[in-house]
Amino acid sequence: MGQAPRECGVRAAVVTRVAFHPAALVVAIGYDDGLILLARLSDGSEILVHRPAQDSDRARISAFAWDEKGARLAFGAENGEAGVLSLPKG
Amino acid sequence: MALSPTLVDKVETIALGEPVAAAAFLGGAPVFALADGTLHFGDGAEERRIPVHEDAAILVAAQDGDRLVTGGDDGRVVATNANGGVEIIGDEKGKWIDAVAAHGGAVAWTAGRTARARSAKGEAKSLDLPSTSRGLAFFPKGYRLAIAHYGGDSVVPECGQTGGARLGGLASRRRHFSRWALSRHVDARERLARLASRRRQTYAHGGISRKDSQPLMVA
Repeated sequence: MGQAPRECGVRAAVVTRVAFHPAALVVAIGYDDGLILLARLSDGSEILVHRPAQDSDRARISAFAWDEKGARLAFGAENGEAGVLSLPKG
Repeated sequence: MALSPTLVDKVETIALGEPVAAAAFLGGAPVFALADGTLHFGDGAEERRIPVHEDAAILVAAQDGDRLVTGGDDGRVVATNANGGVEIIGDEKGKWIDAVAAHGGAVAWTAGRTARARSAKGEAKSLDLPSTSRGLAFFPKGYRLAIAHYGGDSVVPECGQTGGARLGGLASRRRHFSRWALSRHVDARERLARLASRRRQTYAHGGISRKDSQPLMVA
């Protein structure tokens, strides 16, 4: 409290969905061009999960869900594309 | 968790063909709520689709354990379990469902200027709102509901028992809190907690009994 909010995942696209990892200080960020990043809050490092769609029209990420343990991230987009990320163990 | 620069190759993509309204994991399997009113279970090997809103679109969804509660533009609130069992929780006669929340077997939803809640035992209550709502959240403890609507927020001490208290100045007058923002907004939660605690004391003096006399813990 009383501190400036931390910025992460800054890029020239609108964020349409966010979802905290259930255990780690990591947030999944989905953008309106279909790109998905995982951002670690402690150091701002980013990992690419999903590349922007070829046709960025209606590509916005519209759904996120982590599983209970945080091992998998399900996502969906307005253009009907969806997927499940399985985090590597360790 | 080892972080590498890209995890693109760890993603199994699924072409669903319909806009995705929500995602969840039910019984360990991914589930996608689609704009054509169906739920898509699974990610490749074993896939199936269950129509939960006939000839309608899924607008909002909330997960509660192994149930996914969806609200559609057919006015229905439907709970689907991991086995694909479907139960109609509410029917607003075609009014669009604007927000849903689910917690511990209880379900709440808003449609237009009405909020309704159904407890785990099946008791239904409703509340008139000053405006439509886009965000609903149950408090982690007890049967209480926070409602985000245009021009402010309400916290309902006991669902539907009395009119909710408006928190003036909590939300910007021109914006509304999304469900996510409501649950993550620490300032708002603290103020909700303070207000709820004040109202709890008021009700204690007024002789309204509460099952859980524990102090409300938020944040």
